[in-house]
Amino acid sequence: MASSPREKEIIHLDMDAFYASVEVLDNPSLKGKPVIVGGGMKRGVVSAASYEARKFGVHSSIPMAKARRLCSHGVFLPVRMERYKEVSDRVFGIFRRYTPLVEPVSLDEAFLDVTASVRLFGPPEEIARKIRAEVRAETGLTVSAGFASSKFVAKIASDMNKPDGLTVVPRGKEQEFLGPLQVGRLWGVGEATRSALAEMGVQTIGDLAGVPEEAVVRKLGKHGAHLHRLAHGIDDREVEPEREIKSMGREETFDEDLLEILALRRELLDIATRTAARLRSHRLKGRTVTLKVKYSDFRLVTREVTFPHGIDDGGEIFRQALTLLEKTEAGKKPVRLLGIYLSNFGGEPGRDEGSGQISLFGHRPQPGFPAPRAPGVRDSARTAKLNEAVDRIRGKYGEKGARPGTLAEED
Amino acid sequence: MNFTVDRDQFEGIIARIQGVAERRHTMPILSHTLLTAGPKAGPTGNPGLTVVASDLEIVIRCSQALDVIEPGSVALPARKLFDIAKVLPKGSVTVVAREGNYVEISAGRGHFRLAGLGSEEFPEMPEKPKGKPVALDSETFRKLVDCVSAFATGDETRYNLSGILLERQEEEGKTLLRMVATDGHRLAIADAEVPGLGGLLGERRVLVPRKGLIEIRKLSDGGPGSLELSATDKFLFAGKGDTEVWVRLLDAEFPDYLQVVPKENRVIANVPRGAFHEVLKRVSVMAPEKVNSVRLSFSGKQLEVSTTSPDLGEARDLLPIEFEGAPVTVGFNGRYLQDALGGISEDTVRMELKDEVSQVIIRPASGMNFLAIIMPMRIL
Repeated sequence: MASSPREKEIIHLDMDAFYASVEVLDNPSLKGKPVIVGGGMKRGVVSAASYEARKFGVHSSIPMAKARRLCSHGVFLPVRMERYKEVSDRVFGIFRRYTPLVEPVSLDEAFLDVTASVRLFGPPEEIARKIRAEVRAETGLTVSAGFASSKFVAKIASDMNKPDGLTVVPRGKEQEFLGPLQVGRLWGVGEATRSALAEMGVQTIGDLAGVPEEAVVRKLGKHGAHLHRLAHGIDDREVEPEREIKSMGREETFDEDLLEILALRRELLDIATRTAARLRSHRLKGRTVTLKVKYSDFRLVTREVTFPHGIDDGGEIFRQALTLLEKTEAGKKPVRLLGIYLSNFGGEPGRDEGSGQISLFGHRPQPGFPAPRAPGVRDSARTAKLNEAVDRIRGKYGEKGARPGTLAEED
Repeated sequence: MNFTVDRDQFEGIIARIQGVAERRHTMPILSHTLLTAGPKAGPTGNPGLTVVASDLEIVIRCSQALDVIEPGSVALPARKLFDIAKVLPKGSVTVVAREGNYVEISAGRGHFRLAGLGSEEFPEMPEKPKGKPVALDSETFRKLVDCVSAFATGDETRYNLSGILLERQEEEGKTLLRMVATDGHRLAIADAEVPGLGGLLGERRVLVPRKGLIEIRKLSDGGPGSLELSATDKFLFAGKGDTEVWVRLLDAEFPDYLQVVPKENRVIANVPRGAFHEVLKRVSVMAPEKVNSVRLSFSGKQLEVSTTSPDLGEARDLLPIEFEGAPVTVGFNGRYLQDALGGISEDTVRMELKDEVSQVIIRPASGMNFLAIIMPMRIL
């Protein structure tokens, strides 16, 4: 919390048009062409666009159909996540030569704290230069870098001379650097905040830094104080290597908006089953289930529920998500996307597992097979065993090796 | 809508429905309370005001007789309305609906304008069960709920254990209302005589969510009187005075609880209730948090209660008891023991044990109206 007395040297590295660049790397005939990587033509969105494609106004997160209109001669390719992960691992390997303090933001983006690396490898600008050269030589890809005294400024800096650029913001020059930039560049400034700030006559980060903090807080509350600090180039956040997994889940954008509650239930079961498998493969149990619903008008709502114990069973996640779904307008309004996320890992210590508390109903030998449903209590030990078996089958035969019957016809 | 109401009555009626109005903003309308004023909106179909709150599981409706100047209805944010009601000056309050679901609330020289939602957005009221309701003493009902409610689980993923079972028992020509609750580690059974209960439960047993049952129990806070109960397949309905509560029943299988009532617990200890409770409270101060483990050592004519927290230290205390048999030590969650004692009003508590891993019975030394079963805890 308290600002560290240590002066930090932070490098932010951001691969240039990463997915698209990997595609060009694997197929050199695409070089110089507008390459667009993304989901299906019907409903998918652009995941990455090469710089050639960006000239036509194509950028990530716009619908694929729109990208096609903007750039009809473009090369449209599906996402090959496995491959990108492979390349990413090599790139991150290079980052880690210079410091163990590497915080991955995504496959193609990371923060490095090189404060302690200076003695071994020379000044941070030099480190950034070496990393960029090594990434290019060893993978054939380019990475843009920003170097500054904080994560926030470094991130903005890396974006300044993209692609294939290096921007250095010397200590003490942060405000000078940030001043002319639009406030929209600040983390956490979306449309609403921007218009609130505009009402105060604030357009640039420099404007914001010039307004008294109280005025910003009055307008935006606590968030305002945070933005005001950022505008002054103050950002004490540490680079956190091995970022702890805070949430895990799956989401699905449908080819066509879904209105039928039965169809939504089916999708939810599919997502819940996959989320549960993923949780178990990481040996995690989440206590909070969050349901994400995006309506056809792109309005996004989330609903969540927290329990005293962790969950990793698909059926249980499905039942909870279904209850949450009833608290949305799904079924009345067409739904574009559904997602389920589990968070709050770790569980409440001392409850059930390991506390020594003996159960009243569990572990009672039940004659006959299959064991009768009564005494009506879901036996978590049996569910866990079942899931273990299902995971083994899936490990051997793939995702379709074992799955809920409702989903079996899907192929 | 236009009516005038006494400030204290208004605050009372708005306070009463707060517990049901949804605080989280899952569906905006559910954080609202529906106000209806009309010539039949008061108690027993007389002129007045009706206030309704619902979280879809529990619906509460309170009515108040008053003069209605102009009938109408609107949904207002429940929490904000309560905040306003609390600070209104003494005297009479005038509530007038305006264009666009706004309401003006005036009292003395104080004036509020509050934005609401259209009454048509509010969920429909469940029907009142058709059969003749069963009347029972509200105090009897309150005691039963207080005996068992702590034993149901607050963990809503364990759906069937988050409810309290209500069922009819016939014993020696008497009709009893039985409530049973369990969280999978402990179980409580409480009985009370309720003549005429057959009309409500007949052959049926109903599983009522704990939160809803506690909302019905609150009806008895209004003072002595009789509670009217009736049920459909989906709802338990309760009414007392000018307040009515619907609780959606849980559609789940309650475990076969009689199966876990031990029959071969031959080690008997008679323990003074008050002293036992004191000792438990004293020793629990040092018990490990959350698991709350305490050790009960029965030997000779005394019971030693002790606990150890690995990083903190330990505590112990002694109390005289009636006990016969070989010395035995059993670990428990101290909280469970205290909850069990909470269901007993007699001076002497009877504990029936078998060994350190089997369920233990705790009940009044004389009388069969309450029985708690607690699973021990293995304490290392």
